Amino acid sequence: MPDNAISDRDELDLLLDSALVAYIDSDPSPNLRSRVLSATTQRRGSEFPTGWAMWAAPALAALLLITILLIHHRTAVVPSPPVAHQSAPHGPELATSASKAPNANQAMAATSPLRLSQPRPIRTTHTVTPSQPTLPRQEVFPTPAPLSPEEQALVAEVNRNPERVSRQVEPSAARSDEEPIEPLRVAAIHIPPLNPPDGGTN
Amino acid sequence: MVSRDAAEFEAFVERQSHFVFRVAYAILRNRHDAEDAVQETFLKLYRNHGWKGITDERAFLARTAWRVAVDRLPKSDRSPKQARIEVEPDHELPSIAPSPEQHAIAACQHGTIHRMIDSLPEELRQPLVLSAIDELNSREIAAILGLPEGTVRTRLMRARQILKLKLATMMEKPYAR
Repeated sequence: MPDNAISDRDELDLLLDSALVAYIDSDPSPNLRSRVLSATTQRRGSEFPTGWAMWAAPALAALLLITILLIHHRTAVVPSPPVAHQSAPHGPELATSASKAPNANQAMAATSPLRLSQPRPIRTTHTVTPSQPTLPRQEVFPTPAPLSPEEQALVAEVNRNPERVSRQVEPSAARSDEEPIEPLRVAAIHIPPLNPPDGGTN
Repeated sequence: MVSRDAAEFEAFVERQSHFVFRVAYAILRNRHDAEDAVQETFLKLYRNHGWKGITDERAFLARTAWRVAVDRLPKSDRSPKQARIEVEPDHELPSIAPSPEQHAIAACQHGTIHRMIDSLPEELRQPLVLSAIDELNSREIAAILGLPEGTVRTRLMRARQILKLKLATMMEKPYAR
């Protein structure tokens, strides 16, 4: 009986081993190797470059970025004179510029209808330059300025005919001298004494 | 340099693709899935240049292929199944009654045993099927699975024990139906 059991065990082992071999027994398709190799070849073609080429692209990109940043920085630092730092215009100039601006726009619109439909915004760069030098304090205020043509003409006239000018100026002065200056008269102020209602008993 | 590497890799694929396929097939039990796993295995090795300078080529390849194959298993199959040591009911096993054609009988027996193997928990099935591949020994299987050799031996013994118990029960009642 034990011999039968042992032989049964051996038979089971043999059966199991043969079944196990059959369990994993399968052959791949004949083109598996070529499939693997073609996949690796494709991979090789799209492989990221190695060596110096691997560093060249990032370095080039960084250089380009730095150049763009430098150019942008320079553009930003340069002030825009007409808008950012122009002082308030004088009255006539303001009126002139205000009257000129629509005319200029109209002229531009007449030449280019596209610009009329899409007015180009004025590019202003508001840059704050912290270390901008201030003007030195002037000894004479207001600062001496050259005479205007009218003033120059007046000075020339005075130099040419001083008497005539003085005659024209003096009558008003003489007239003012002739008129007597009356002293100011102020009416006397009368303040009534305070009369308390109870007769000053308290 | 590149062409020499390509030639070496080609020879490497030529030499080991069948072995890698067998490992992948033992885990996945599907030819197409196993071929995909083979391709992925070799691509992975090619990408990280892991195929160069391997000391134990077979063990290294088997381990890589096993990992790839296990990743391709459905998630429900990756987790260890509940070990079912009890013998399955008779009605689940086909009869192995004598038949005029021995080949058909053997095929039937093998089919039955294959289903038994499939029903084993993964922790027992994987060492068992790896042990049938090109006579991988328990040390190599332990290296592939990342387990101690003693654990692998225990699992192998237990898997065979379960299968033999089922087979013996089945053979005692061949005419049960």
